Amino acid sequence: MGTINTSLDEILRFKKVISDTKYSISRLVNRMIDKLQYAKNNWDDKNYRSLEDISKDCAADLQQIYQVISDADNYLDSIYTIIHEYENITFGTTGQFVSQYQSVLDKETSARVNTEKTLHFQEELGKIESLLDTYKGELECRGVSDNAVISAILTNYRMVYQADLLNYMNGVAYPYRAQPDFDQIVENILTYGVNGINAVSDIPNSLSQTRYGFQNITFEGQRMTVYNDPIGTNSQLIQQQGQSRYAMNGTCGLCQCANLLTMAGVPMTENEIISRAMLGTTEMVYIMDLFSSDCGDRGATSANIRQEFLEQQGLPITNIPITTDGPRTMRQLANAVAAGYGVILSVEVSRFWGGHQRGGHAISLLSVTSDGSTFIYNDTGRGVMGRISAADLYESLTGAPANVTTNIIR
Amino acid sequence: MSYKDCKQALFNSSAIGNIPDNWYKSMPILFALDNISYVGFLFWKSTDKNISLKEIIAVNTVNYKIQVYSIDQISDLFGLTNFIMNTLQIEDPKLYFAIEKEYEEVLESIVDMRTSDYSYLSILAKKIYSEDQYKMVLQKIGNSFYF
Repeated sequence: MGTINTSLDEILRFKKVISDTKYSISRLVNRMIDKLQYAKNNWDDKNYRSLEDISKDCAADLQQIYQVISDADNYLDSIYTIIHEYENITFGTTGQFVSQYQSVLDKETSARVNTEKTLHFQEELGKIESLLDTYKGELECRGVSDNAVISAILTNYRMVYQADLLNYMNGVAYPYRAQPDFDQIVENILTYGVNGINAVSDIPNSLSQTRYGFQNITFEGQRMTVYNDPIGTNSQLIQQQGQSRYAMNGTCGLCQCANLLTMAGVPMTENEIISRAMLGTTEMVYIMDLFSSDCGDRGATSANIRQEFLEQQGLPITNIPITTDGPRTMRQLANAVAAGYGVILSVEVSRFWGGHQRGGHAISLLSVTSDGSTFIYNDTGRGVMGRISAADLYESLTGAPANVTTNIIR
Repeated sequence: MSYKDCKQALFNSSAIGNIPDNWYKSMPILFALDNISYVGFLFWKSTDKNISLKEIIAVNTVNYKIQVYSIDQISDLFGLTNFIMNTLQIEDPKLYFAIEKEYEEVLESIVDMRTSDYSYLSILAKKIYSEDQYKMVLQKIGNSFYF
């Protein structure tokens, strides 16, 4: 058997170099376009025309180099897999070699690559935060002192850059993004004011008792006495997942986290909650499965991750175990909702939606009837607000604990 | 031994709180390892027309301790090499869930030592699991219980 003059670590080092090179090429192309734009706006002579021709040729050549490097990256992935398998081949007593754990190796490789990617992704997210700090400095030195305004501007850039980074990590080249024109931003603030940007509390409610009682409503053709105003509440919440600027649709858990925060007095959109989740723990980012080829898989959470994440957002959560005593569990949940606590549940879709599709899903509870027999829920998967009997809801539960706010939030 | 206590042990565990949103739990299976019997709760992820086994959370039927088996460990212990398999298409959800309920009741009777009718358990299992899942998972892992 011949000697292989490389190792897995060396290949990973080359892959990192390739990744950095691709990033550098993208940034270079963007900077060239930027300079060209500046020249177009400020040069009066025909030197701009010559520069334009040269820049276009350079950009085209760089794109070709980018493509070649991407192909090499894919080839390295194949070599990595082969060498990983080779290093684990053992020879049996009969002389036939046995490749052990073939599919496990594939999964191990995949898991290791994903872990590497997650860590690299978090590193790049850190660079975005550093860049935004410089933007903050630029605004402050131009006299912008309103923290709400600065926060709104930076939040927008954060989302754009994070979404670009996620696409890049999933094989899409960076789009052209001009550097912010801080002078123009400040001029706009002075000209148009800061209407619509108000300091919003980011401290979730913690009440001594619920503000609401029960009222009669007609819902889906049925007259019922329910807690609070579920229709009005739902109108303030995220109703359909997968509507963000990020390429991810499996965000039911994150959307329900946002909905709990909104119910607790801290309005939150899908974009904002995803942006915050990206800056979560490595475990959280890993479980979000951001590099799955299926956008429907990206954005996942778990009951424990949601608890940890919401607590980081200032909303303490108690995870209440489901019990084998169905009526007891449903009474607990009904009491929680009727007392003004927020509740997120994990359900199995074939039972919850009553169809052929199988999978897990997260919903939040908006209301409950006064006798506890029927719940009204927010379901961002189908984009509906619906009602379900306590018995049917119990049968739909996966057994993961219910995320219940520790404090009364409404 | 009590199946309800096994299920409650699962619900109380941190392991079930770590299950991602997009995985789902199928009906549990029985298996034995080193002369100890377990109730194994299987977790799957759907991928288009197939499903992929992701994890087993097993509950020791004697002391109710929890053991989480990753696919690496499942491969080591039971020799499974292929974790992607065909899923059973649910044609009639009402009927399907009724059979699932009956399966769970029979499994509970076995764990609670009120019966040892493994053959009926196997018959019901074949109706709620696809052929792939039955042969590649139930028979490989729970071979003394599934025929």
